[in-house]
Amino acid sequence: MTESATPDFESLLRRALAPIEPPTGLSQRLESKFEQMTGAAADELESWELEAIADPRNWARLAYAGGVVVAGAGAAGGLMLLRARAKAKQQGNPVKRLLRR
Amino acid sequence: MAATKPKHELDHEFSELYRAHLRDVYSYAYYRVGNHHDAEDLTTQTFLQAYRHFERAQRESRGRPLRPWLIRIAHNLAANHFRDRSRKPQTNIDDTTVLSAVHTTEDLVEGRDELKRILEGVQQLPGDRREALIMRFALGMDNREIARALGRSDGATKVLIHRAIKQLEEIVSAT
Repeated sequence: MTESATPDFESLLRRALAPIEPPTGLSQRLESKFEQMTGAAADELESWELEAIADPRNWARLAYAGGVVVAGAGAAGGLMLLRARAKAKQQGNPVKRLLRR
Repeated sequence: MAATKPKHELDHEFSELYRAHLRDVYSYAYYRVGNHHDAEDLTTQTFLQAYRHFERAQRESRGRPLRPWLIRIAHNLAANHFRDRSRKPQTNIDDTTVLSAVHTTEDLVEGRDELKRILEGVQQLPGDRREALIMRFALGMDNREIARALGRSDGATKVLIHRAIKQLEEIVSAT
């Protein structure tokens, strides 16, 4: 099936709907936005990483994101975590502990 | 799990995509919204959206061209543009800009009125037919690309374009 019985009409249509050149400044404006975005993303990531390092809840996520999941370190970390949890359980809630004193 | 590309490599590839298709996205946006101001805004938003999802799009395209994806983003953003702001597509594209910017003097002398009537006819077509014609004739997309951009089958797209041209011929010949 051809798209039209009159090829002349298609050629007119092609001329009528000719591509439109973007304004000269658009390309520069867009590139500067991309640069801002990449800069902002890098800053955000950097500050997030610094904050995240201080928060143990993010350690697992950080390790995953960095692709540094080493089985031995993971096992050791897990063991430390278990020990820390057991110790915390033994000692109980810190507020209650203070009240007991 | 697929390996993640280094950031600089992704940025470089995106930059190539953007340079290759800036004119396509801008042309599509212009013929959809009918003025340069909104076309520029729509083009910017399209590439910002594309930038955010570029890595995934590349992964899922499996080497197929990304132009239909870009045009689909522009298509969705244009729909939001009209819906959110309760605006309708402008019925009169700025004919003088289009006709003087892209056509030769010979064209203008020979067929200016005819081209103008065709442009006006395009604006009278139903949305899906108008978009298919913009993609085919302004962007030079083939049926498969248009089908991907519109989320239709190749066969349905072929029929859509055929009917759009027929209807446009009728509109133009009636004026």
